[in-house]
Amino acid sequence: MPEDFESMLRTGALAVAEATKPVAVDLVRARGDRRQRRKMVASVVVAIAVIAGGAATAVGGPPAEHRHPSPAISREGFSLRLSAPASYAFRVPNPVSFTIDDSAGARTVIVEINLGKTHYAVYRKAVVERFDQATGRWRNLRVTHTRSGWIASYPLRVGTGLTRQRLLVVLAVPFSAPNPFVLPPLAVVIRSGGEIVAEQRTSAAEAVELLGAWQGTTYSQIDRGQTREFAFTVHNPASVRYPVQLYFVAAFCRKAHGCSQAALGDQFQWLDGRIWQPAAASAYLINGASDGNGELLKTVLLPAHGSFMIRFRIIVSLTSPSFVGQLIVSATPDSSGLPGSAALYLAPALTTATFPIGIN
Amino acid sequence: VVRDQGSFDEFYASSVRRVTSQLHAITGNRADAEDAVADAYARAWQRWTRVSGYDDPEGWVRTVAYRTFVSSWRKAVSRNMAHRRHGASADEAGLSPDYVAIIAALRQIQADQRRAIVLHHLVGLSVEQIARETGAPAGTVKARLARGRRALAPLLSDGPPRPGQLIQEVIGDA
Repeated sequence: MPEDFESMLRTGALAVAEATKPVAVDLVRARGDRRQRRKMVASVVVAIAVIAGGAATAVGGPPAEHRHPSPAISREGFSLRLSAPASYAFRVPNPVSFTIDDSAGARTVIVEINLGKTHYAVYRKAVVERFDQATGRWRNLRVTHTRSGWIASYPLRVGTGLTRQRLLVVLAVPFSAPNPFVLPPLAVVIRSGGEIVAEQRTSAAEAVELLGAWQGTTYSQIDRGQTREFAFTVHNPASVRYPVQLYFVAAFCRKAHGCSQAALGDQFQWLDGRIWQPAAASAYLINGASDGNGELLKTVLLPAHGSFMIRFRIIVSLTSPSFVGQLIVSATPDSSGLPGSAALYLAPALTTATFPIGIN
Repeated sequence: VVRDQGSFDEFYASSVRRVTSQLHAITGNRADAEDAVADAYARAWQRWTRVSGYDDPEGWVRTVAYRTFVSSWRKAVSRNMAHRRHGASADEAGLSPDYVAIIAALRQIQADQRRAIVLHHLVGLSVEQIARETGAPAGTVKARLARGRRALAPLLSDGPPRPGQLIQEVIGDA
């Protein structure tokens, strides 16, 4: 933890306290009095229903709307058309492209990509690469943090007609950023002779992370001799597709003696297509193992706004001892399957979901 | 029984902002914190003749607000899933980026660890005081503090987490 954690925590909380506008005390007293009266007539149920209704609303929420770029500014025979995701993926190269239409003759222009200024503690630098058609490779662009945002720029030779540019953008957001994370508009500016000849920017977008969840989240008790199935779903809320690795861990502990022994005698399997595959020994985590990533089950290409479900089952033998434990699946982007310079993207997004179970 | 309105109003005015900021750190959501705190003060007023005689009425309000927050959400969703789905709320305008990062990191660790961390590092309670407020043994509080700090470390650093790091934290309380 940072050395100044406590100081930052207290300073931030003080700011929250100062900014808080509490409910007027007479309203609080009135609420207390109402509670008292309701208690007397035993109508508390109504209040609970109101609270539960509010929470249920908070879980849902409207789907993200598609956002359109602003009208392009075009001068001197230039026009510009920008295409960018409405929902970026965290810590994954996101494809952005733009097309310049030049009717005024060949020339060299300066392209500026402005990722905007995130109102956030930025620990990780933004990355922008552009596809070099001459070499067929992605070339890294220098990104600088300026007062107006994270900016990458490069000279570009444009000819008469259409010139298309493909970019990869990794956003400057830290691991602990909120999910979803609201992003400022992305802008592409074309300069010629120091003058802006074309400009277009997107609306505010968002960066979103993988979401993983087991179906059902309550404790599941399994008797000896039983077989039980579980399902885990990973969802990609971004409008960008990328490959995701799924890891599985079954962490078991003897009830009476703490987590000291894995239940190797109990058979975990996962459904690969139509075939149940046994989980490898690495999927059984003995507490104390310091680096238990578990077993890499599968790499799947998650489409934009797509989901993938994977099924598991446990076959508990009649002679199994009693255990409590958790099934854990982690999903993380597969850096080896990402476009561009994979070495630049070694800060994987990660979602982990646990499912407590017991063998009785 | 006649309740002393003046002493309650004074208590409310002197403590409500502080308790709200503490609940915000614990819950990660300012609106939830304000609702839970308002409800807790209303409950305090209901039984003010008794609560006002406690050694630490502010601690009582904080505890009741936390329970209100937890119980109201448990009725609808799994706490962890709600955190993971929604991350930090959008009501953080005006807060420093560092504090937003801390709140976001706190939301990603286990609830009992987060509560212990906030009570110790923000409220300034000792292990024994936290044990009394949370109803957990002192040894458990120490373990929650240690695990909470371990879980926070990678979240507040620049380095990427490894799946194993998080899994180790997840099974820490198994």
